Parts: sequence; structure tokens; C-alpha cells
Amino acid sequence: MHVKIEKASIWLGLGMTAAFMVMFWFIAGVIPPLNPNDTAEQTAQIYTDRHLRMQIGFALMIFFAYLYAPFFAVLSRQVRRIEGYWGAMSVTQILLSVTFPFGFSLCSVFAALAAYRPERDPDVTQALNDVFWFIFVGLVGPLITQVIIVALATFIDKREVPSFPRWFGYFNIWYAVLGVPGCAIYLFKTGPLAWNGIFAFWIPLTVFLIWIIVTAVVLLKATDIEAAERERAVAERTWEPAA
Amino acid sequence: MTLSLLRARSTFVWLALVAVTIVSWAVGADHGVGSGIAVVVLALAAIKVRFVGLDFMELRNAPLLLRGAFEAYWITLWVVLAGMYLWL
Amino acid sequence: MNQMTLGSAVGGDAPTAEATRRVPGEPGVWIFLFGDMVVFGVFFATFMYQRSLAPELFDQSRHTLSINIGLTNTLILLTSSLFVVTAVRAIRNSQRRAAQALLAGALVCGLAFVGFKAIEYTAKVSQGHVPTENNFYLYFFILTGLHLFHVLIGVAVLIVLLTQARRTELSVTRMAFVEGGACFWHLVDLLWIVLFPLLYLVS
Repeated sequence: MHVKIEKASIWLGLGMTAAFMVMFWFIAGVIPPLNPNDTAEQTAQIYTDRHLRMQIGFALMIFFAYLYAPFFAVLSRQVRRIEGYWGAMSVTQILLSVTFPFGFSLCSVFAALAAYRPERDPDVTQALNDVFWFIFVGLVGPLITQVIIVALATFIDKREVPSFPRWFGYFNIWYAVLGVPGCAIYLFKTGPLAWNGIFAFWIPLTVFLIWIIVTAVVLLKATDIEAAERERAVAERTWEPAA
Repeated sequence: MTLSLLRARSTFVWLALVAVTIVSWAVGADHGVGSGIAVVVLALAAIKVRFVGLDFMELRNAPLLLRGAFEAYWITLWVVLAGMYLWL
Repeated sequence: MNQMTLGSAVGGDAPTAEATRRVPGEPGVWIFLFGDMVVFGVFFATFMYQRSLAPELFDQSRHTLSINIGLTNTLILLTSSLFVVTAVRAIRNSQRRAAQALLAGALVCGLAFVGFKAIEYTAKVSQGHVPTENNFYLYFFILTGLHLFHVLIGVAVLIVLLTQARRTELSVTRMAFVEGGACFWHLVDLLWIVLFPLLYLVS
């Protein structure tokens, strides 16, 4: 039963990612991103033209973003397995996982706000739009810290059957390095490091999609490994520490 | 002891790389826009990449899949960059 | 476990019975290294694309670069790579002192690169060339900045390798880490080998 729930959580994370792309790309239309160099009038015009699509897309995201939580719960549990107890690494995973859905839902609140009253002052709409991108693209710290911890955990896992294969540690480092440029968007309105730029948006988005798929596959395997270990522990009557 | 360590392939490769670097610099420093020299300079860079990979990263004795992937990488890099230079 | 294949054999491609093929470091490292190489390839191509939109501007701006610093930095990194690959061989032959000396040399080279970069950036900015000046300088600072980020990570890796070189024997996993770390440093060198001509010569 546990294994079924864990695997369902992992698939939910994948499903949520597909939903995120649908919500942001096809419904709200914020992928491809807006242009930070647009004037307030231009930005307000976009929000007025698409306001219904955007309101719906963002409302869906605000509601559903929290479905990412179980995926990250499973990830945290696997890190706990490596650590042996709820130590600094695994608890940090949980703490950072709390912020992850907000990276999608909180920014969506601002964007939905921007679309909410088309008749308002364009400067206000532009400011709200800016906040959306600042959070959505710029807030890279939590996930990057999480994956660095996962990489570290992978490398220190000295058990016979490790939860994660060693290449997964290197993969997470690769993701972390490529996700970093997102934090530069606060300084640029054009170019590759603006929120619509190739370094700050497109590459991090692409590697995020790759990361979640690869991590899901690795987690599915890790769940099986843990299930086998649990059965063995039951057979041998050994117990793991409670916390 | 360090001297005997340096009497190896990697040192010869290093000398060659230094020489090629200086040649590219001399040739490429002033050539104007859109000339064929740039393609040569890029080719020299790609060849240097190859030798760093094969002799410094020790891919020469790596499994063929890994080595093949690396060879494909530097060739693709040169073709794409030179192509973009000439035709874009 | 210690294979005799590499080391000081000159012309190592001969298919002798001993020359078994092995992955430098461990397979996982190459996911990261190739991944980085591919993404930087995309960055290089992006630069070429931007150049095609304004070739005269790029050529003009290119001439304002300090090409001598660029050249010096290329030679510094090449030398540091030589030190690193020789150091790895020294570690395999249990020549700890030589390995430590070579790694220290590589570290000095790495720090020299960072130092020269700092000088170059300061010089450019004081001449009025900032990232917001034009597309060339935007990409120049971003590409070299991203590379510098890798150099700084590489310097940290070299320091760790130095600590490993002090051990009398290395387990398989540690040796794999040493080789992997060395390959990361060579990656830093490799990327600069493309960046130097791309930014300073070809633009």
C-alpha cells in the first residue's frame, strides 16, 4: 500500500508538470514569456486582450500547484533514507519543498491580479506583471539548494544498494549549475539574462522539465529499493530509528 | 621525479596546443569581417578541443561510445559555428 | 585495481592486450561534463547568431578587447591542465609529493586566471565598456562570467584534489573522484579554448 501511494505521488509530480505547461503555455499564454522591455501600455494591452484566458489559467495553477507536494515528500523521504534519520539534509529538503509550490501559485496570484481589472492604470498592471516574472523565473534558490543536497546525499550514500545511482548525483549538479542564471533577471530587461532570455528562461525551463522526468524515474526505482529493504527488515525483525 | 613524469604524451600535446594557440592568435587577430580565416581559427580551436579531450581528459582509451560521443561533439561544434559564421 | 594502461605510455592507441578501455572517473561524471559541454555549445551558437545580426558592431567591439590578456589566460589554462593531468599520473604512481606540487601549480594558474580576468573586467569597465553597452559586450560579459563561475568551482575542486593527493592510498571511489575532478578542470580549459577565439578572434 505504501509503495502504491509513493508511486502515485511521483506520477502526480509528473502530471502536475504536464498540467503546469498546459496552464502556462496553452491557457494563460505566458510561455513564451512577455517582454520585460515592453511599455506599461503594451503590457496592459496584453493582459486586457487575454484576460479571461489568463485568469482561468492562473486560477487553475493557484489551486493545483500544491499537488507538487507529494512528489517532494517522496524525494525528502528518500534523502531521509540515505541520512538514516530526519537530519539536516532531509529536513532541509522538506523546508525547501514547502516553498516549491509557492513558486508557481504565489506568482500566479499576482498575474491573475494583473488580469483581474483590465480598466486599471497600466503602470499598476505592469508592476504586478513584473512581480509574476520575478517570482516565477527569478526564485531559483530553493530548488537549486534542494538538488545540491540530493547530489550530496547521492555521493555519501555508502549502503550496498544505494537509493540513487551515482550518475544521478552528477545530473543534479548539472541541473543546479544551469538553473543559476535565472537569478540574474532582476538586473536585465533585454538579452539572454532577462526573464524572457535564453540563459535565464529557456534553458532553465528545459532543464527543469528534464530534471523532473529523470528524478521521477529514479524515485520510482528508489521506492522499489526501499520496499525491498522494508520487507527484509520485517523478515529479519530489525527496526529503523523512529526519527 | 616530476621531470620524468613530464616526459609523456601529455607534455607533447601541451606544446602543440600552445603552438596552435599562438598561431591562431597571430592569424586571427586582424582579419576583418566575414573572412575564411575565421573558419580556420574555429577549426584550430576544434582541434585543440579534441586533443584536450583525448589526451588530458584521457578519452583516447575510453569506451568507444564515450569517445565517439566526444568526437561527434567537437566536429558538430566546428560545423555549426563555422556554418553560422559563413551563412547567417 | 590499479590499471597500467594510461600513465606515461606514449602513443596509447595501440590495441595491445593490456590496453583495456576504461571510463575516466566514473560514468556519472560524464553526464555532467557532456551536459555542460552541450549547453555551452548552445551558448556559443547563440553568440554566433547574435553576431550574424550585427557583424560590423561585433567586429568593432571585438577590437576594443584586451586580446593579450585573453591570450595569456588561454596559455595559463593550458599549462594548468598539463599540471593536472601529470598530477593524476603522479597519484597513480604513488608519487605524492610530485602530485601535490603539480596540483599546487595548477591552483596558482587558476588563481592567476581569475586575477587577470578581474584586471580585464576592471579595464573594460573603466574604458566605458559595460554589459549594457551593446549586444557584443552583453554576451562577452555573460559568457566569460559563466565561464569564470566554472573556474571558481574548478579552483575549489583543485583544492579538494590537493587534499586527496596527500593520502598514501586512494580507494576506487576516491580515485574516480580525483579523475572526475581533473576532467572538470580540463572542461574549464576546453570551454575557454573555444571562448577565446570565439570572442577575441572570430567575432
